[in-house]
Amino acid sequence: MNFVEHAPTLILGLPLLFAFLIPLLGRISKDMRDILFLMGLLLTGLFVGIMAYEVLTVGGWTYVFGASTSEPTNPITSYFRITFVADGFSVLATLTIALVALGAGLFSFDYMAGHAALDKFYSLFLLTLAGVNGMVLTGDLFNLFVWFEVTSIASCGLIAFTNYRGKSVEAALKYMILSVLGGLFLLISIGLLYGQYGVVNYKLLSDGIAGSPGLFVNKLALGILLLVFGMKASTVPMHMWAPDAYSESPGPATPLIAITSLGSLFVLFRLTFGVYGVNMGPGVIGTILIILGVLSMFIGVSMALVQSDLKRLIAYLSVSQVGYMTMAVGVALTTWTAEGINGYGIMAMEGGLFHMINDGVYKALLFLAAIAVIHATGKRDLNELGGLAHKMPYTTVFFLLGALSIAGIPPLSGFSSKLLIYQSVYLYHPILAIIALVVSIVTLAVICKAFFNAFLGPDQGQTKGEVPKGMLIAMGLLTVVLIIFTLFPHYVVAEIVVPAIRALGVIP
Amino acid sequence: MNWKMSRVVRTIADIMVVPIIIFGIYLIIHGHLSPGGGFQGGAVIASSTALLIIAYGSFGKHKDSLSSLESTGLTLFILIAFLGLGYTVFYNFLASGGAVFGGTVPYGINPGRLDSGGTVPLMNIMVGLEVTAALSLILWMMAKGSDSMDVEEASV
Repeated sequence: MNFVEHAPTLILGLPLLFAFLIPLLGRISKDMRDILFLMGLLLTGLFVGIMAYEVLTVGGWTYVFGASTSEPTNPITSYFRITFVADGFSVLATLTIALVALGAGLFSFDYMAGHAALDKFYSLFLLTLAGVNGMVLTGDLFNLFVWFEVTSIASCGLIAFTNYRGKSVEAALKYMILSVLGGLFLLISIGLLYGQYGVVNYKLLSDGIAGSPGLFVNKLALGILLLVFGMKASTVPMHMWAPDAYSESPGPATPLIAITSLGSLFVLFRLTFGVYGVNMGPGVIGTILIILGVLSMFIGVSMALVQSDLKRLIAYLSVSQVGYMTMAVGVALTTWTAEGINGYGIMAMEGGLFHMINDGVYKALLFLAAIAVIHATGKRDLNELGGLAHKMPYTTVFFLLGALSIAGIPPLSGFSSKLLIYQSVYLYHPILAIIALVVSIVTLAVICKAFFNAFLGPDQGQTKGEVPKGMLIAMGLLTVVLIIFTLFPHYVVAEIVVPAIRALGVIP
Repeated sequence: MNWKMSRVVRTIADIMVVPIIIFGIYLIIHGHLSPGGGFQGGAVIASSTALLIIAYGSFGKHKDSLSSLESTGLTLFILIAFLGLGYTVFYNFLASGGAVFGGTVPYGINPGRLDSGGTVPLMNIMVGLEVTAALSLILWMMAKGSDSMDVEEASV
């Protein structure tokens, strides 16, 4: 049996299977439950790797569900089934998701040990993973709605998992209301497109839109899609759920919920580029994305300045990082003509997408290090923490690497992607590059404050020692990936990011 | 849970549970031929749970078995999808094969052949199991939650 062609659906199906098996077989013993969770994560990662290898060496393919062959043999009827798209862009997205999920999953063994109802946590974790993977892999608008809802419901359960004085329930309620509203608006948008064109498949839909580009329905649906996925990606006017959800969710779930926002951004780009293409009015959409990006960057980082809660501070920083990606892709869009994006647009696109995979990794590392601190000390207020570097040397190094990377300090990988963004947006308008640089400097100030308060200074005896080994291994894994990105940024851009841009159909 | 309805209500509930469950099973196994299906049938069966909880004020200690039933339904659903992996996931490998559920419905007016539809009725049954268990669990939790709420208010 040729498993390679089934890789996209196994990336989705295996987490689902293990999510349902864990409550069932987890009754046998606690080890069984942990082993099943680990197997689910590792197998998903394995098939992400297999798909990435196949796509990057041989080429992408479309997977048709339920047909007698997985290839779309009939140009019309095959696309009425649910299809999954395995191309460069899916590879970039699923790689980011799998790396973060693997790190967070390994982290959760020691962090959640002794917690009641752990099988439910593992189930929700794997369901969220399956939902995000489904969102980025699907080639069908209605199927996208289904995975959107799966992700929303599962991550809502994750946020409310450990109740701390009712705060996490409040965060989950906020998240749920916004997600349900977003899901309904997404459904309206799908309905508009379906009513006009009678299809929901991306490929047939893009053919339909190319046939009648000027229709008002197209613009209305695109506007709603921007709103929905902008909300889910926590861009600024719609970001209010993110700091609550990130800071109140139980430790290892935080990076996963952060990756659902990155996944939504991936979906937004696939929809705008893949379905609408040049017919979306790249100038207008690009300008909107630039405005959203600048707002996110600036407001996110200014809010981070005044936080004293460690996790909330990183949550606001992550809102500000999303701004870099939206701004870079917006700049790339403004250069789009019928031949594709050109000139500095290509560089902006490279920077934006490289920043996404980069950001996924170092943000997860930073969150995990912060959670390790909270786990070891039981405190999350920066004014109370201090002198942790004496007892927790490894966590200190991991936090420092993640923090310097998020601030874009050379030579760390955050700098490589931010440099691409600075250079390209400077050519669009110098003021954007200045704003991006200023935001980077303020980010540095924020993380300096966090690092000095929590780790430096005399030992105050707040912790007995380093966190357990499992947590260190999880952070170490993400650090290794971060160092690889740091050492070979050109390789990552050429081998992973450029195929992703090519898959969006904007460069030959 | 400390209330209990009168003997009349409890007896009627006992009697009504049987037709409700039978109607639910009917909806589930005819899902591929007529309106209805796994979700609707499961919801109907779960309504019998609601009836029992209201009449008796408790539902016994079935939480673990319901939870297992839910996971079993979901796991088997995914496994049936994976069984088509020789072709593609969700491939209907039983359809038109003549084996269990592999028959085809004859053309024209007929009572409907239950053993048709391939994997679709099997998946309906799995969804039915899942929805029955999950909705019953939700009702059980809600009954328990409202009960503890009463106790809390009373103590205040």
